[in-house]
Amino acid sequence: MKNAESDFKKEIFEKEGKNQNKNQKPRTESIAGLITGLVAGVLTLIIPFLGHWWELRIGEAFILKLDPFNPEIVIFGKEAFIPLLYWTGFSLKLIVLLSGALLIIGSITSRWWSVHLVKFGSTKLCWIVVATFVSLLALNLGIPGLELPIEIPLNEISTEIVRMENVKITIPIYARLTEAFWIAVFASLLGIYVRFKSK
Amino acid sequence: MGETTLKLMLWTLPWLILVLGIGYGFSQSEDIEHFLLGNMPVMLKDFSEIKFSEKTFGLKGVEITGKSVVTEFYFASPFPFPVKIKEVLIKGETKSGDEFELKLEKEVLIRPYENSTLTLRGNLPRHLPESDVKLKDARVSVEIFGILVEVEG
Repeated sequence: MKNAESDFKKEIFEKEGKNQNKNQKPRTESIAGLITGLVAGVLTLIIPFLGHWWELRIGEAFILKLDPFNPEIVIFGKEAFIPLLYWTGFSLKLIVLLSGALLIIGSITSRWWSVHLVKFGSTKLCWIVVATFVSLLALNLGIPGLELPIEIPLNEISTEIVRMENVKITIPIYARLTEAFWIAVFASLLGIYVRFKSK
Repeated sequence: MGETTLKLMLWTLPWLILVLGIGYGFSQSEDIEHFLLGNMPVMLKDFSEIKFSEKTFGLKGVEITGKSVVTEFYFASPFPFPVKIKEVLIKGETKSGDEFELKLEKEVLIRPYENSTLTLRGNLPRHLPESDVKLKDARVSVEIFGILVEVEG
């Protein structure tokens, strides 16, 4: 009887041990994952407040400060306000802030739902970065059916000359991907890393 | 709460925030046009109202003192933004076929809708009456918000 009881206890102990091994990663990996998750989460929380990601200046006549959370358009010294862009940016800001917070919560906890929070928090910023970069590439390479009279660079200073009969127009163009964009790229990559580590 | 419910909630949440945010913004807007275009139509209307007429630019007078010529042009800016006139060069010819040039003294900044006078100076080969002097070609360089527009003709 005693033998049977000790066998049963041994079996339960082994089962629990197996489950513990399955759920818990080695200590070093967990700490690395925790730190990466925390850094990615904190960066994600900061990014909406870092300012614009890309700047385009066509002379001083057209200035676009592309920030997915609060784009700024200035035409001939007057600021354009487009409610659709403002509210889309505002919603994206909320989504990114939420994803940053959930990424942190998911990283510091080890419950069954933690992995889902990490998955949620790690991808939202990445999608926004990818969508922004694809839009910029489309603007740079040209969109079929939407021919622009001038070439829009991605990250350089150039001069376009447009000639019409006896009129010559010299347009200085300045385009720059800002530090905020590269920080967003870095945070997205960290997020992706955390996501794959959390699988 | 089950795992599936959590997954579903997390999947729905961003879409819900996006739809509610845009929906709230739309409810605050006057109409769909204002929501989609904002103040762009008003801004573009300002530019579409730029009109050039005979009163926009013209010769005010010519004064010849010895070999020196001073011409004055009036310019009534039709632009709702400042314009910098960087260069005005006018080529002229005397009755005897000698060529001369008139140049703008210095850059002129003209404020929105401002009336201003541009003074051009030059030298003739010798003193001549005004009737013996004819203005021919002109080159004007204007800077508008960093964009340089050069017109020749």
